[in-house]
Amino acid sequence: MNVAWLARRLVLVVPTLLAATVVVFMMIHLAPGDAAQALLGPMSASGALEELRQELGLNDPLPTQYLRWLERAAHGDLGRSIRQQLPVAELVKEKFKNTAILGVVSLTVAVVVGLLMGFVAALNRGSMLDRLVIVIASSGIAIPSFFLGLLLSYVFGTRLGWLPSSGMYDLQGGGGVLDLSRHLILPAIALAAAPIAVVARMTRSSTLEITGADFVRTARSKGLTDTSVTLDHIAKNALIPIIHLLGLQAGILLSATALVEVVFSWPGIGSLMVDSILTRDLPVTQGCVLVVAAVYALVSVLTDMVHAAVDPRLHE
Amino acid sequence: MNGKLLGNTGSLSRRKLLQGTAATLGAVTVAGSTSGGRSAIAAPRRAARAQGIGPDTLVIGMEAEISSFDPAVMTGTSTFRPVSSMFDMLTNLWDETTEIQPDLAESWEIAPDATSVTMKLRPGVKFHDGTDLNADAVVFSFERMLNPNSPDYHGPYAFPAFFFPSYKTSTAVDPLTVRFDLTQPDATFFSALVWNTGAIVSPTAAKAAGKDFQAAPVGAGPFRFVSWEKDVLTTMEAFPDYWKGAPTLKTLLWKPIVEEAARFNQLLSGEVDFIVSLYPQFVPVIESNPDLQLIQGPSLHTWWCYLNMHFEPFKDLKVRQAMNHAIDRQSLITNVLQGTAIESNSWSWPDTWSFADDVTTYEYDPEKAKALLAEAGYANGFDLPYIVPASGSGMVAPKEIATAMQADLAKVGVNVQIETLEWISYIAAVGTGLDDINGKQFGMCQMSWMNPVADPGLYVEYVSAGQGDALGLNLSYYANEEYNKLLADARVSGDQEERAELYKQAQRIFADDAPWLFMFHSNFVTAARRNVEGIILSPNQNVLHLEGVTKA
Repeated sequence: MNVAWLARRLVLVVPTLLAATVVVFMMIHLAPGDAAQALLGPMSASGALEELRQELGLNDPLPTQYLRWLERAAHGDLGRSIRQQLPVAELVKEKFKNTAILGVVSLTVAVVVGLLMGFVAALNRGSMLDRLVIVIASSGIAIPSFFLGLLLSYVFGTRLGWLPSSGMYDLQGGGGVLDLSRHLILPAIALAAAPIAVVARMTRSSTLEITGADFVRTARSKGLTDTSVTLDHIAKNALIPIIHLLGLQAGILLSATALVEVVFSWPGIGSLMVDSILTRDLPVTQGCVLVVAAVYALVSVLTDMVHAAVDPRLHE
Repeated sequence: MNGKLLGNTGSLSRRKLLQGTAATLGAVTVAGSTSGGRSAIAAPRRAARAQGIGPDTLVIGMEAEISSFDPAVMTGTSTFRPVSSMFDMLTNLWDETTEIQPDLAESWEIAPDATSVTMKLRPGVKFHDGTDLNADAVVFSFERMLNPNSPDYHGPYAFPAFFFPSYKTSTAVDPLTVRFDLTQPDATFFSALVWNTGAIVSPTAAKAAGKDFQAAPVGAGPFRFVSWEKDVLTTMEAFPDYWKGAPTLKTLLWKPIVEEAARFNQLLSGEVDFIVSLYPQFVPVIESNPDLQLIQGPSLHTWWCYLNMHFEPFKDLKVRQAMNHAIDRQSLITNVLQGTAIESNSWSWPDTWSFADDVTTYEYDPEKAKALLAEAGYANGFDLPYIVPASGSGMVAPKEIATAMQADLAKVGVNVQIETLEWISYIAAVGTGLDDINGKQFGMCQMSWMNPVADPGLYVEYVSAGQGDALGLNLSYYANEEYNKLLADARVSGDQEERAELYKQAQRIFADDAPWLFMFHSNFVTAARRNVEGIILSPNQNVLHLEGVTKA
């Protein structure tokens, strides 16, 4: 890994982001209806529609609207939301912070639990434990996150009353890390279930593959202890494909968070984006997409960097 | 239930699945709480305590985030409701009666020629910021929205112009008397004052804030604005100097929970105390759960289908009559809407001053429908493209209704093809008429309207009389000069009895011509935790009166 490589990767992020905003801009306009119609509802067929479009600046040609947005965005100004006239940059920043909390916790849970499950299953191949892991992993992939979310919120929120099933903090007298943690548990599990399953399966199969490899046999025949073989040889090598997988999972997590956020009223960027699309609040949608696309692109660069650091073969 | 979930196109949408899931979960709760012995009450109480919500705070689950706190800008019932707690209008509907009652205005006089309205204000009323509510404040509230020649004008605003099209100016006759002058005779202007857009705002606050008034709204309602965190929470606190006396509750917490099932789950868990607008599938669950109560009342809501009179079969009156005879409305109300609506035969509401109880009605009679179709030359039926929104404007289950209608119509040989669109796409698609939606002509579509007061003049011309470029939402392309003249005359008459006669006459013609497939008047349907008392629903679905609510 060298600096030139990193610089090249980072520069490539820019056209990716531009493309993302163009695509979103076009898609929002391909969908019928605009922000004025969203606001007016059944009154859209009246003269009020033209008046409101004028008021909201929706009458300009599309390229004009896009270039105006781009020019401002280049200066760090993402405009204001059409509905409440809130500055988009601040709004997106605030909501992204909330999504990041949920996302990072979920991903951490997914990695730790998934790796452990995968290793344990692989090292006890064919046992009941192994089969249990396979069953859990298959279920994790099969259950849609929003459904699991509703189920969790019903069982632990409604039925048992152990945990809150909505929001980030208590509505009154809330705040603090403890309060946040309580609110995090259910959405984080809902969001982590699928990546746990994927990571566990990947870890299991890649560990099994490595366990049978020649260099492991060599290590054992050298007389190394079981622990040393497992940690220094098997785990280290089995990790390589998993790093790549994690980059991918981070992206998938980012999209799944929209559904989970809606179910748990988590005030993140996912629910903000869903809401802005349903109300055709384009500046907000654009702001969200820009941030999500940037995160996705950066995560993929980061994944490559970590990969290169871990796998010496890539240094050549 | 799975069959029902699959809907008309066979696709299983996320929303539907969520709704189905929550209804199932809800049903499980009920079963569990009655048979399992372990009380379902204990758990929610624990959750509520964990949330730290006391008995002087009401948590309300909203179906959408508030679009604006400024009465001049705000739109949509889901915004009107919360904001109505902070602002009072000149007139209001306080209980289940549909007659206009005094609010900030104590009395009024409508000029016989309907070109002006003079109102006497309630003395001693204060805004939340201590400003006196007097004639100047009323004049300011309207001039800032509607009179481009006024120095206080901050417009243009789209909604005020739609709700008060004939407003010219207003004048403070004396400190407690205000006169509205109109550009033309218009009896509906007075009725329209019940719209939340006619709320009176503090001139001191609005002048200081200008366009930013929405960030710091100041009214004279029972609760005052404290804070707003987008997509999380709106907080309001009791206004001790409210003219009707301080509200019983100290705090209102408004929580946007867009997802239908999640909103219901939070009511079940006690995280919210009260929800408005709920999916009918939840009604039986609420009724059988001892922790919850269903609170509903009649409302000024009308829900209908347009029959496109440019669509070949619907050019024939007999076919339109057959359509009306073919639908089993009572079955739809019982099975789909769970009893939350009544049958409709007109655009006016039963038991209100303009309602004609002697119009032609179309009872469910598939045989008669078939005979009418045969007479019209459609003995073998016809194909009917039908466009339906996924939700919107108080239509609680438009797709389920459409599917049930499809089955009814199949029995008389009409082959209905349903196309469903998400609400905003739907509005954009039908907004310019049904004849050309992406190159396709549709024969039928659904619409509904929530009126604030029992004056059909506020919407009936818009939805049934427009022509040509000013089609409005007359999506049937109904054109009847006699009918249009009756409506126009009713709008400009200052005499309510005369207006009633004109509207009744128009309803008779309308029912005979059947340009609509008449459907329902929906109730105002809400649900609350059992410990919430004192919720009064008026027929105006745009306002919630929470000042007398208590929580045990």
